[in-house]
Parts: sequence; C-alpha cells; structure tokens
Amino acid sequence: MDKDELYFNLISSCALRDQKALEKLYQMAGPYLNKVAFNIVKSEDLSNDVLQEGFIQIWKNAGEYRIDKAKPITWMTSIIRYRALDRLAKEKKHSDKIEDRNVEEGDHLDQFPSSDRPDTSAMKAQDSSLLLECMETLNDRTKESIKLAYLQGFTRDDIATKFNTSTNNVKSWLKRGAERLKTCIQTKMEASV
Amino acid sequence: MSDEESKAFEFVIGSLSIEERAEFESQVLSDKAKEDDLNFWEYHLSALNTQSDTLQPRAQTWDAIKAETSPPASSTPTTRSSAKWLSWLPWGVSIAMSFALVIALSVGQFKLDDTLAVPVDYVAVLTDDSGQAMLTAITEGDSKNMWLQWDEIDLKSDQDLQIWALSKSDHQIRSIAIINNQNTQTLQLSDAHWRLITDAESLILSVEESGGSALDEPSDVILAKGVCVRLNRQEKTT
Repeated sequence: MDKDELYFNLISSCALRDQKALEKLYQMAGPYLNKVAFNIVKSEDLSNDVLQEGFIQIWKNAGEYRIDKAKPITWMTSIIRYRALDRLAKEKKHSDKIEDRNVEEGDHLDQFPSSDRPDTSAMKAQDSSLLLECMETLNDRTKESIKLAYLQGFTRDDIATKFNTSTNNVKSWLKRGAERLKTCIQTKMEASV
Repeated sequence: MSDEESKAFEFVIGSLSIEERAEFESQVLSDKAKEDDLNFWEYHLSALNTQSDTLQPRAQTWDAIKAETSPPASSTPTTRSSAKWLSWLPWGVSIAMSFALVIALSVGQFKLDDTLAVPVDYVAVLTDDSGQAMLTAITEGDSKNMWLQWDEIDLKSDQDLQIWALSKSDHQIRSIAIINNQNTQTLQLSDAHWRLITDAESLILSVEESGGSALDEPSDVILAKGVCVRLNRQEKTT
C-alpha cells in the first residue's frame, strides 16, 4: 500500500469517526504539516495552534474529501496552509515583521525547495515536478515572489515592500507568472501524453 | 489570463487581501471553473513544499485535538457487534429477493420510475420480519449515487429512518445515511460511505429519534434488513 492509499484509508476512517485513524494520520503527517504552518506563521506557538485547528477541520470534513479532486496530502496541506494564512492575517503581526525577516540570518529562500533541490519523497508524482521545471522559466523576481507568498505567507503588500515597488507591480508579476506557469505546465502535460 | 483567472492562483499562494480571499471563497462554492482552477494550482504548487522538511509538534497539540474530537462522555462506542442482529431476520427471504432482483437486473436495467434508468453496482432488498420488502437500495460506483425505492412506512413526526451497513470484514455496523423524508430517492455518497457499501454484508433500516441515532448505533426498532449483492459489469449493462 503506497502512502497516498494509506492516507486515503485513514481519511475515510476519520469520516467514520475513527479517532485512532486520526491519531495515525496525525503521527504520519503532523510533523510535515506543522513545518508548513511554521514557515508561514514563524512561531511554534502559532504553528501548533494552526495544526490543532487544521486537524479538527480534517476530522470534520473527512466525509467530504474526494480523491478524484486532490491527493490526500495536497488536501491536508491546503487546509493547514489556509488556516495558517488566516491566523497570520488575524495576528496582524506579519507586516511588522517584514523588515526583521529581511535581515534575519539564514532566512533566505535557499532554505526552501527549488528545482535544484529535488524532493526525494515517494509521494511526489511526476506531474508535481512539472511546476518546479516551469518555475525555472520565470525571472528571479517573479519566482521569488511566488515562493515568498506560498511558503512564507507574504501578501502583495509584503512583497512590494521587500522589492521596494508598488503593489500593482507585484500583482502584475504574479499574474504574468501564473500565465506562464499554466501554459508551461499544460504544454508539458500534453507532451507527455 | 484574466484577473479573475489569476485569482485562483493568488488564492492558493496566499497573496490576496483578506477581502479578496473571502470573495473568492464564496465564489468558488458555486463556480465549477473556479473550483477546477483552485484544484489545479493546489495540486501543482504543492511541489514547492518538501515533505521531508518537518517540525515535531508539541505533545499537548495532539491532546487538544483528541479532546476536541472525542465523542461525548455519555456516548457509547461508535460501532457495535453485529451478533445481536445476525439471528434477527429471515435471511432466506432477503437473499432470495436480492437475487431475484439481480436476475431482473440482468435482463434489463432497473427502472425506479418510468423515466429513470439506473445503472447499478450493488443492490440490497431490505425486508421486514414477514418478508415484506420495505426498501430497495441500489448503488452505482461511478457517480457514488444510491437510489432508494420505498414501501410505505409509518413514522412519527419526531422520528427519522437511518440506513446502516454491516461490514463483511470486521462485522461492525456503521451509519450510511439518516433519512427524514421517504420521498428521498437518491443519496450522494461520500467516498467513505461508498467504501462501506463495497464492504457491506447487508444493509439495515432502523427507526431513530429525529436527527438520527445519538449513539451511532441502531435503535432496537429495526424495520428491515437485506443482504448487499454486488453485480458485475456484464450484469450491469445487459
């Protein structure tokens, strides 16, 4: 049984109110999801709060999970990320920390995965790596903006502050980045069929 | 790509303002194209995360989750042994009726009414203790729809019906659906409930208080029960 199937079975059991399944799911995915949350909220107190809220949502929504819509780990990661983003907005600490972040030692995007740091996890499907390949077609500014937003919860305003530009410029970068990524991914997917 | 199309991308990466996020969340509920865009970006952008990158949660986090997800103290376990029910119904009657329906299905597709032809993967004819069919449940795997055909059942206003599945693999009984209206002809099953059907030895129909069983187990008022029979693809399409 591969990890996807195991996660799926555990989520299905959660839908049937099997708390042991939730515990197993938590043991397997909790440390990774806690790190996803931590990268965004930058605090262990908050990441643990987010993890708690996220797993309760996973428990409540398990019956609505559809494997044809998303892989189990993608579904769980999305829940945690959105809770983390909500918490970040609620705390209203983010903008105050932007400048601090920029000078924090070791707080560089090199810490995060990029196409030259391939993920060796068995969960990574070939399709997922398309994104990393396509990210390399973007200019550095756009690529970094997308990673700052996705991995660290930066808003357009935060990114604009970091790059000393306007929010509208950031919006344009992200829009053009999305266009280019989508075209690139779809082209590669069609080519592989 | 329009501004609207790029919203799904920005929603997933998290760069939208609070107001824009709320607006997109409400739109995606009723817009299939937006939902597809959302799924596309959630799937592909997840490659930015590294699953080997972990941070051990604090011990008290699980304790809090466990407390939040535990059943109420007054509740009993969510499943119960099937032994009590195994001797209850005239199995011969139920099995015979289910297989009779299978034969009927193999001749032509089952028609719940004059207009609806229903493809089937699983069928169960639930009969009472006299052998009277009370409910016929037909489930189709591609759509995960369950079609229901009812006999007349007298219910009080403060009562609901509840359908349960008895597992072949662990002999536990688990809820499939709470029915508050016998006009209900179709149910959309979740993946989890579909899996219960595929593993069901039989289905059980019980009368419960309004809102369904508080204990997640059937009441003592069992109306009907019937074996769950799987049809192969040839039987489905001939």
